[in-house]
Amino acid sequence: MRCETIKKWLSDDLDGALSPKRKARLDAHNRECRTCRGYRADLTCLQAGAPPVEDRSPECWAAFERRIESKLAFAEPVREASRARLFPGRRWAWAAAGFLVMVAVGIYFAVNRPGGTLGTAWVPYEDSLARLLQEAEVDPEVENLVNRELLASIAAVAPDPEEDYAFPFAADPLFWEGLSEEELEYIAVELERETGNGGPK
Amino acid sequence: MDERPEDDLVEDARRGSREAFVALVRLHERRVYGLVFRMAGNHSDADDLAQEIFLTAWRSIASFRRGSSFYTWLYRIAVNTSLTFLRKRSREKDRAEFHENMAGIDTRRDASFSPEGSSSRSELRARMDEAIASLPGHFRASFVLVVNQGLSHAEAAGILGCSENTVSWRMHKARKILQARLKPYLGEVRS
Repeated sequence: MRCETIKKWLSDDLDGALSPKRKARLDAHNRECRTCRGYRADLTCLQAGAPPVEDRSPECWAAFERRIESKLAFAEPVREASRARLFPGRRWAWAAAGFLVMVAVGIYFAVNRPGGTLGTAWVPYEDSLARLLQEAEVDPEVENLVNRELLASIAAVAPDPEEDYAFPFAADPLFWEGLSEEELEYIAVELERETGNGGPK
Repeated sequence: MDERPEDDLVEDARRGSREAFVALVRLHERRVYGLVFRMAGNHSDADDLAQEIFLTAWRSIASFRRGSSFYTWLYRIAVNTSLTFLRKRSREKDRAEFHENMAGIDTRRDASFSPEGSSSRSELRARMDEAIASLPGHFRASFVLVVNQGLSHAEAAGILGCSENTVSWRMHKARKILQARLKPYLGEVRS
């Protein structure tokens, strides 16, 4: 048994808070341990020496009571009336009522939601681009028209990311020198097809 | 002196009767004063604290729940008020010591004291007053409630708002601190 534990038990024993089982073990330890016996003697001395608060004279107490009474004359107890008026012992009922009101308001807005963002996301088939795209598949003129419109609308929203770096490639002579004859010919044909002008020959 | 049972006095005080509350003050003033004197360490502060405690109790008497113990409730107010006071005083003391140190004043206390020739029990009591006053606030509150006021660990735990084990541990630590500080005097008293 460690002496530190025994010292804690000694303290409990002085306060009458030690179980009989532990008390027996404590006594057994103390019979053999001189240090713990000395500690117990010190604690007993401390307990006996704990000074009582000297009682004051009756005049002192009378004066104390007079001061309290005079202060009480100007102090009012805080009433719980305001709280009682709001929640007169039926807090759960108030909480349930509040919850029901919130649910009712939620249902009202869910049912009577004005045609908003969600409604405009769905376009009837007649108004969609599907028919136009079908026509573009068979008519190259319509296809060009649609492509131009689409590219123009995309360019209006976001600038062409290729625009920034297309120029340095074309301006770099090493880029063109590194290409084979077939690759140069292919680029020239594509450029001619798209713009009507040939590329570098 | 009002001879009504305490429960009746509490009930009347809750309804706003000052006379009933003054009767409660008379019932508890000595024990409350004993507690705050041990916490504050002097009569002047103890007197002010005791008045503040009874005024707080009067103002909040409506929040006292019937069925619980009035003295436990009152002691809880007393302990909390005392601990708040100790914290405030500690801050002020630190500030004062700082200013004194800045001014070059030596604030060391009675370092020359020696136990020689003062082996009497009264000397031990005087030194014990000082030693108790130097305990940390929560340790002091536990020690005063259990040793000076004679409460059980369970009752002290109810007042301090902690577990019985915590009170038991604080008592053990407080005794170890006191024993270490008063060892020379304890040896003399025992011999």
